[in-house]
Amino acid sequence: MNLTDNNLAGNGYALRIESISKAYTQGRDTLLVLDKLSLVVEQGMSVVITGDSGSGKTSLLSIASGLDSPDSGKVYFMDQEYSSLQEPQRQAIRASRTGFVFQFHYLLEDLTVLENIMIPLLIQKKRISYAQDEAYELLEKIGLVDHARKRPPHLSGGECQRVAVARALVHKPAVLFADEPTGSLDEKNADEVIRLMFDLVRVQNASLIMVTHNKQYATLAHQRYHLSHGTLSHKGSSAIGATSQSDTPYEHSAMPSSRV
Amino acid sequence: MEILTLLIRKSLFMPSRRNKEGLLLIVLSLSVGVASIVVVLSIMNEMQDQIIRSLVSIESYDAVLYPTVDIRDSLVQFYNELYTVVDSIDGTIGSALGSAQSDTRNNARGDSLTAVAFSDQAVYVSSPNNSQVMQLRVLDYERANQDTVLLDALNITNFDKGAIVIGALLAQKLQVWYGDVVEVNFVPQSGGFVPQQHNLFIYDVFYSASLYDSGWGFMDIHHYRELFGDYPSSMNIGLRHSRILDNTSIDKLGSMRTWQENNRAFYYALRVEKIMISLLLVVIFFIIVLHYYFVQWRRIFSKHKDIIALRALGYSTRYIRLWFLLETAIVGIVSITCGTLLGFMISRYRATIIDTVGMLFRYRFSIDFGTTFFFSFKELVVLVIGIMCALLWVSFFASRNISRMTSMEFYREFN
Repeated sequence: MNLTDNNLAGNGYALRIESISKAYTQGRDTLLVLDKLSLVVEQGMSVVITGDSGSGKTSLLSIASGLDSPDSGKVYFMDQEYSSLQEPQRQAIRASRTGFVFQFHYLLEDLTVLENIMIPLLIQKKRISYAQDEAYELLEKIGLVDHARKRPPHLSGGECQRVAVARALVHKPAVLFADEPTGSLDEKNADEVIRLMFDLVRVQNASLIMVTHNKQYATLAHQRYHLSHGTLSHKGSSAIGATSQSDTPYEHSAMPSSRV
Repeated sequence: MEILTLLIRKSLFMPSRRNKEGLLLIVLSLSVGVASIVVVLSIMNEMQDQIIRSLVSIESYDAVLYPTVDIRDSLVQFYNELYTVVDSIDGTIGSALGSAQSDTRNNARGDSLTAVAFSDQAVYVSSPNNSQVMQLRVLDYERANQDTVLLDALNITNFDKGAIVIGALLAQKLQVWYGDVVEVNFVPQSGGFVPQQHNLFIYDVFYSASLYDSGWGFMDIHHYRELFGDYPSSMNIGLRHSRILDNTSIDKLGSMRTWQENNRAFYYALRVEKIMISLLLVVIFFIIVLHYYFVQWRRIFSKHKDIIALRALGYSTRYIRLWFLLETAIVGIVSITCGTLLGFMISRYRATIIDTVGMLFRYRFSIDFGTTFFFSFKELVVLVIGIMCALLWVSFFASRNISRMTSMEFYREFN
C-alpha cells in the first residue's frame, strides 16, 4: 500500500474511528475499555477527551495514533484505513503525518534540545541543514532558542515539555496526539504548554486530539468528549477553539479568542 | 542514516554525564576481560614453549623413522629413497649421505624439512681433570646444519666435521672448552665390537635451556665411519616437518613414531595442561559474553523512554536494533583494542608485576617464565573475531525485546 500525500489527502476529516473495541485480559478477568466507540475529527479541529483514570483514554489515543491496534472496528487516517496496516506502514504514517506528545517529555537526554526537535525530520531523511533551520524556527516560536545547545537535564520540566511539543510538530503533522501533556507539570507550566500546543496546532492547521483530566483545558477545544465505560459522550462544541491570530503563538497567545 | 549517525555519535562519543560513566564501565570491564584472555593465552603459550624448550630440544623431532632396512649395507640407497619421498611433499631436502652436494628448496610456507640420520650411544669421556659418562649422538652433520631448529635450541651456528660438540655443563665438569681435546672411550654396542679409544677435538660448546641436553655430545656420522670403518649399527632418521606425518608412502621405509608417541607421558601432561587452560579461557570468554548480554539488556532497558519516543515518532524497530548493534560494534572494537594492548602490557611485564605484588605481601612468588613474549598473530585474529562475533550476537539477542514488544507495551510500562 503506497501511502503518499495524495492518497492521504482527506475528505474533510483527519481521523475517523468506527466502532472500535479494545479489551485487556488479566488472568481470568477481561476488562473492556473501549466498547464500539466511534469518533470523527475534522481537519484543523481540536478534540479534548476527558475521563477518569483507567477509563481507557490512553488506549483510545494509542489506537487512534496507530501505536496500538483495536480488537475490532476500524480507524481511518484521512481516507486511509489505518488499523489494518502493518507496523512498517504505520511507522511511515507516524513519521510523516502524526505527532505525539506524552505525559512525560521523553526527550533523548544525550541529544541537545535542537537535535531532539530535529529527530522527526531526520527520520524522514531530510537534510541536516534543513532540519536545523526548521528546528530553530520552532525554537524561536516557543521562546527557547537560547537553550538550543543544552541537553534536556539542564531544562525545567515545563521547558522540556515545550520542546516535546515542538518536536511533535516540527514535521508539520496532520494530527497531533497528546496524552496528558500537562500531567507532570505545575499549573503555571501546564498553562504555558497548553497555550503553546493549541497555538502551534492552529497555525499549522493540524488537528489535535488530547486526553486530559483537566476539564478547564477542555473548554479550549472545538469538541469535548467524556470517556466512560468504554464509550464517548459528547460534552459540547465550541466555535472558539484556541486562540490568537498571532504568527508567534506562544509569545502572543491569549485564550480564548474568536475563531470560526 | 543521518539520525543513526547522530544517535551513535551522541550516545557513544558525547553522552550525558550519567551515561558516560556507564559507558566507561562497560568498556573498562570488557577490556579487562579481553586482557585476561590475552594474558592467560600468552602464559599458556609461553609455558608450553618454555617446557618444550627446556625438556626436549634434542628430542623435538616431529617424528622419528625407524628404518626396516639394514642401513649399514645400503644407507646411501636408503637415504635416496627417503629423499625421493621427502621431495614429493614439497619440502627442503639435503644431499644424499656420502655426497658433497646439497640441494635446498623452500616450500610455500617457508618451512624447512629436515631429515637427519642419528644414532645414540653412551660413551665415557675423559679430560686431564675429570671423567664423565656422555650420551653421544652420532649425527649427519651436513644435514644437521640445515636443521635450524636444532641449531637454535643448542645456540650454535653449525656443526663442523671431524670434531665433537658437547654441552656446556658437561664441559664445565670436564673443565674443558672448545679447542681442547678429550679422550672418548667407545663401549661395545654388540658382540664382536672391540672397545676403542679416540682423542677428539671439541669444535664447539652448546648452551641449551635443557638440563637433559647438557649431558650430550654430538659427533659427525662420517667421522664415526672414518674411525670405525662403518656406520653405527642402529640408525634412526629424525624428521622435522609437520606435513611429513600426512605422507603415507614414507611408511614403506620403516616405522614412524611421532614426537607425541615418543614422549607419551609428557605429551599427555602437556595436553591436560592445555585443556585446563583452554577451559579457563572458555570460562573467561563466556563470562565476558554473559556480562555484555546483561549490560546490553540493561542498557536497552534504560533507553526504553528513548525507544518509546523514537517509535512514536515513526522510527523503525529495525533501525533501533541497528543502532544498538552498531554501538556494540564500536564498543567492541574499542574494548578489544584496549584489552589486547592491556593484555600485551601485562604479559610483557608480568614478572615485574608479580614481583611487585609479592613484595607488597612480603612473599616472593617462584613463578617466572622469563620475559619472552609469546603470542601468535593467528591467535590474535581468532580472539578478536571470536569476541566481536559473540558481542554482536548477544547484542542482537538482547535487543530482541524491542521488536517483540509493541509500542504500546513500551508506553504503558512508563505510564
